[in-house]
Amino acid sequence: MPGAIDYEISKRLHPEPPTEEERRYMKDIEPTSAGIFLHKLHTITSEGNETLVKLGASTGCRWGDTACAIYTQLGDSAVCASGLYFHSVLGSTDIKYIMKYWLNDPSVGVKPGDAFFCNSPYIRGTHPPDMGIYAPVFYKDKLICWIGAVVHTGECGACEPGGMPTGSRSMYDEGLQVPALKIAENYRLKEDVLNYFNHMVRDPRAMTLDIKARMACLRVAEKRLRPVIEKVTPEYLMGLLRYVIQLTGDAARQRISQWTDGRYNFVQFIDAVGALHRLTKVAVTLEKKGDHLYFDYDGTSPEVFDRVANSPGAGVIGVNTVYLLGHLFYDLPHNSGILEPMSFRLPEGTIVNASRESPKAGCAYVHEAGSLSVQYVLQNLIYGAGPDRTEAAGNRGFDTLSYGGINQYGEPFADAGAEMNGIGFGARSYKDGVDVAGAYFAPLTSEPGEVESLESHLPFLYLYRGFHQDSCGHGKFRGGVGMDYAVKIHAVPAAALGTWGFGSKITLSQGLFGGYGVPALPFIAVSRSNMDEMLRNTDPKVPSSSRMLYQEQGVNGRYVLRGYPAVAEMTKEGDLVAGGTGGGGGYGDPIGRDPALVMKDLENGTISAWAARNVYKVVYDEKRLAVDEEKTRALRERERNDRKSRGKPFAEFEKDWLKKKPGDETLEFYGVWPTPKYETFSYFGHWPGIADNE
Amino acid sequence: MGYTVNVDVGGTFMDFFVTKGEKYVTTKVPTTAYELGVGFIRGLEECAEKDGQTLERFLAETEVIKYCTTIGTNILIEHTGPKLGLITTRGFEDTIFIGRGRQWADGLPSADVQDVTSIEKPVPLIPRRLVVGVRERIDYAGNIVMPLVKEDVLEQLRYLVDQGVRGFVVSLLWSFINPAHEMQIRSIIEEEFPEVYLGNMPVILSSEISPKEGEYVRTMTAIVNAYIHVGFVEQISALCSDLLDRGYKKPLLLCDNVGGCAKVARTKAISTYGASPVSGLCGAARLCAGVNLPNVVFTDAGGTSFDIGLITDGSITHYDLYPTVDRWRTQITAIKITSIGAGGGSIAWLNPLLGNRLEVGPASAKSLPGPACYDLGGEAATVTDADVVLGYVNPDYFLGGKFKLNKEKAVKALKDLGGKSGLDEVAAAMTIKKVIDAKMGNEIFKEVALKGYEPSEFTVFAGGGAGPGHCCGVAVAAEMSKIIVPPISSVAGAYGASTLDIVHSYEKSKNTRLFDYAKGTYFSDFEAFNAIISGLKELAIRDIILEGFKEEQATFRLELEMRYGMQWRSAPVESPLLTIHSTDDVKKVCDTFTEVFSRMYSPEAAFPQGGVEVETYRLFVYLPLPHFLLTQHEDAGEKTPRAALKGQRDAYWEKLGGFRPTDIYQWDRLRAGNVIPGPAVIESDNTTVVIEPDWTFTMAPELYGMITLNS
Repeated sequence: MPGAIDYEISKRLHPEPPTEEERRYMKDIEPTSAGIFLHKLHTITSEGNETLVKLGASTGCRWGDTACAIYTQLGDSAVCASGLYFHSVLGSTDIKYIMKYWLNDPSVGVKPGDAFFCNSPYIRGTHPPDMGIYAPVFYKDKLICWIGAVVHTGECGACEPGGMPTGSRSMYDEGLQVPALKIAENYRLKEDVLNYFNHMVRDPRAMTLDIKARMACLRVAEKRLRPVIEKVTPEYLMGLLRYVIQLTGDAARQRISQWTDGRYNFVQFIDAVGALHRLTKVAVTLEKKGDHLYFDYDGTSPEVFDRVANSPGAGVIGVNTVYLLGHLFYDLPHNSGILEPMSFRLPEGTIVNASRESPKAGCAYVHEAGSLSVQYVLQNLIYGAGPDRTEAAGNRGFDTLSYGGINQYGEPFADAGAEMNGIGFGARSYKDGVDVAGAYFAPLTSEPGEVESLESHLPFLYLYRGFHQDSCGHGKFRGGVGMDYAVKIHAVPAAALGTWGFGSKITLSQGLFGGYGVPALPFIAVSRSNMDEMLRNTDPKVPSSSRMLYQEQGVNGRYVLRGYPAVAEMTKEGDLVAGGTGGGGGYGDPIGRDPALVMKDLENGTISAWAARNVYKVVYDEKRLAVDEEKTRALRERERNDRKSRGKPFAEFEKDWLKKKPGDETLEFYGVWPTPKYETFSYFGHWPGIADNE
Repeated sequence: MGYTVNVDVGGTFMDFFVTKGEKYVTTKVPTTAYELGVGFIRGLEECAEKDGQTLERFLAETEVIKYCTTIGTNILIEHTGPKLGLITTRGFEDTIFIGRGRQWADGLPSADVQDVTSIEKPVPLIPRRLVVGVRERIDYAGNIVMPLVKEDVLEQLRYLVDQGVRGFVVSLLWSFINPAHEMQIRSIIEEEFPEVYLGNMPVILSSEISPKEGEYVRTMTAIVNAYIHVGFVEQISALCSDLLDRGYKKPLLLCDNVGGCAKVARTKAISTYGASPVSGLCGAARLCAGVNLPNVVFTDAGGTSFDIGLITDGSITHYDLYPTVDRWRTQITAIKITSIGAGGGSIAWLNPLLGNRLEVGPASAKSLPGPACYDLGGEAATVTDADVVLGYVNPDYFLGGKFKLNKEKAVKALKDLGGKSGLDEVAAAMTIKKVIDAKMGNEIFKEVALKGYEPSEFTVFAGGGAGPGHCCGVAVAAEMSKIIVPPISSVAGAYGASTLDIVHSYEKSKNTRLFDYAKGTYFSDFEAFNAIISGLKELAIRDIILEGFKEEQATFRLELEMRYGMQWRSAPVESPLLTIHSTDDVKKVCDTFTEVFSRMYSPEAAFPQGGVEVETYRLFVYLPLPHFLLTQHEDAGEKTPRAALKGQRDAYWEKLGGFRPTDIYQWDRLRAGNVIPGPAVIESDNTTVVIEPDWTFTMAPELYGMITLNS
């Protein structure tokens, strides 16, 4: 049926088996020579990625939400620039789609100088703002490999500005969605296609600049690759690209085999279904056997057909490469091979494996919840091999502003806030997490920008931007804190403001081994405010933190607790919104924390006096921030004894716990309480007892 | 004619290059890190002695001293700066600790930042408790949205003074557009702590140090400058007094990272950071300009790092607009030098996860314990060990024979390494050479390519102790076919200092929409554009006069940082005009940008319809100084340098299938016009030049070596 989803493609995220030709070319590859040559290829993708960042205009491009990669002839990601690994790996399915449908189609075809634009959620497994362009590389009429350039271009013509509409009710509310369309031919950008895209979106300038940036990235990478092919032969290059994928897979297997076999469970809840605060969950059971990991998502909530709550599937798996390649296997070549020793089972008709028409704009929330579950089952698995790699998760809420309108220069703008690139990272077994470290999905490249560079083209006036006090999970080692900020609409009559993300009602990133999870994130709007007048009068009540805004409420106006996510609403000049990004989970019991570190946190403003007294149980002189060691010891001892007196045997606790159940409204989309179960599944990678083609 | 003295301080040695007319002397003395002045005077004494002079007479005859100093670097690394307080806009006190998020990665080699689990932010120069916010706000257009209140400033000020701060940095949002509040705060401080009292403390305004957009980088620029300022002044003043006492009455010029030098009184402390490699690059540029080599990649390969700088179209115009100073991202405009962890001390190892692939670096054996062949306790095989085993480096003539190498130790280290992967010591050594050459060459290629140039059109300038030994392999990896080996490579930074003019740069960020996207019109407020230039020129003329020059002696160059609307990164473009007076002038500037942009990224990437903006104006002023020029020597009349041939030893050449008896030459016995076909080795007191098969070495009239790939 025209327009139907090709599930066969989206399941082919794992590397294709080497072709007979690739096997032949791989046979004699020597590891060190390969290393030298791979370094050259990495240099090429780095140059491509730097070009992309320099030339683009969207928030994603300006602040490093980008990827440049070289793919095998069949479309598997082999070499990618450091940074956003999941865009690189997910690009595989885009290319596989092109190979399947257009390579031999006489009306389309794949020729030297072509480039294909792709942003279909059903193929690459993410939301429409994630747009990739892919160019084939030929040598004497033979297709050798592909190059890809992917950027999150926030605005894509959806029903709300910024690309991730909270109020979307079906895929038809979500703007431009292109499975694979030829956007360049014979090394020339097709102006008619670009013109069409520009007519679909609110910010055609950003769309054009980002597309031109992708094209420049691809062209420079191909220009560099061509003499390399001449030098080493196309056969060597084809063999090497498949070899490095296998190398990554083999190395990952080697490491996995050193861990203890076992079975681990984790459940991550999501507290938002569209604009409603309802509960869903992503459940993951990991079974580790020998050198293979099996991730089973059975028990996850069912698909929500008419609200933002779903992922098309491949992205749920692809997003794990962020943790796998950035943290656990950081020392291996970064490519699709990391998936070889891993298999995934996704129940059909669920939020992790949804059908065609349901909204996918918020698939990032599902991906984040899934990646949290995967990270935590892995922490439990790897701890036995040594705690030094064990870490709580950084924040995964994706919480940020979405906005659109006409800016102070009369220019259209629509995108998302750069603050999503300013989360706190998780605590390690031996030290705190990093405060405002970057974005979890691209820690090596992403930045939350500077206020002046944001205000220079957005009609915002930031009232404050700093560490988000107490946004971390507390612990013996605490998670890093996120960012705290408020903006006022400035120099224009109004602009549309909404939010992305989740975690306003429940804990997002959990703690580890006694460490606390992170608190819920507020997002507040104050309309009909007197802020402009307060500023003119240098009123001391002008808030300098969200805590001050909430607690003192010195600003007159109508306060609405909106939370994450929230539908974009027109916000008038002088009105303000206050939000924040979350911190990372804590590690170990907070009352085991060195009191000197607690004082340091107080001095830095990363935790509150309340937390110091009530969570860390430290007695200190408030003026001098000097610890009273003796009283602190006594207080902590009392807390330990209190805990013992409050404690009960596990069987008793479990019995009581299982009686608890949230209200029916909260569970509206949850599925069967307590654990939804499914009959049919999609398999990614080999699964015991299931034929590979099933 | 008097002496010119050029001094370059490194971590291990202080290098001296002294000229008088056409003659020059060089010397190296150990760096006296505890007090740089001690080594400085010792070096001068050695130079004086080499020319048969007493120090006093030598100094009395010295016209100028140029100095590349590492005082600032040392203060930052050792965290020995003063206790400073930061005054910023209330609500933004955490800006320098947030540090654009990725602060943890700034200043670290790329290999060190891949492991996200282990990241950590650097220890701040100002702790959070010494940062205060004042109630004030200026918006993007420079409008005062929230006026400053004196009582509030006083309250914050008193808190900082009570905390014992010894200086203030003031950095407020949008102060580069409207510095009124920063200036008001300075007045309040001066009023409270007037100069006549001992409590008087320096006040640094971000709008004066770095009037450019970006509150984090602007604040860090001001903080780093303030942090190294006091210690810098103390040490330089002591040196000046010492020199004065010994008879030197001319100015001391400090080399900077913009490729110039200036009087002490006209130098910002932060501008001296990284001056040494920049001076080396400038020296290379001067040498290459004299011999008609317009496109050159300057490289300096030492024991632990490999520095790269670019000379394009005969000049140095590639700047790092956000250079990292130690671990701090700033926004001074500095000549771009890229550094990677690769050099003679880089350690080779086998990666068991990746099929026992042999890798080199980033870990280094450094100078202690050093490579295994140093015999100082190091056991790991390094690049230098490989060079010894392959017969390239003579263990009895390392550093001119001053430092004997133990070849057995090198062989053992390589056997230990190779044994685990089935390679003998020679194969392991050859593999190390290939890996390190490729690593350096790929980095060169990327640097050139990223600037929009064709690498094959460039020449490699092989500087540093380890550079000429690997230059052929590096050039192959960088896809280049010409190499220049400098004559004074052992004191390249000091030689480079001798080639510097007085250079000043002045900057100002002001978003100027030369073509307005929304309105579709060209910029028409010509006076606003010209007023910015006049403001910068006024500052320049002040400095020209204080440097002892007249305005007519100066050359001005205007560079504009430009971009298409909505892009964040801007590209520097040399403006075709210093001032604009018509729409045609505006169009000319826009067209120049599109031309440069198209060359860098392809015409398809250009998008003038999206709006053309100037983000920052940068005015350079050049005041020429007399330079030392390398003497041209007459062709010796013989191609084969028989007199320079020291003998033969076995060296390994993969192309020739193994070890072959190879001619060994002595550098300082070579004469202009000598030609040496590869394979061959040339030894000097400070380096070894390895000429691989298929390459040919020619000694130029200026006594530098040119190595070319045989066609």
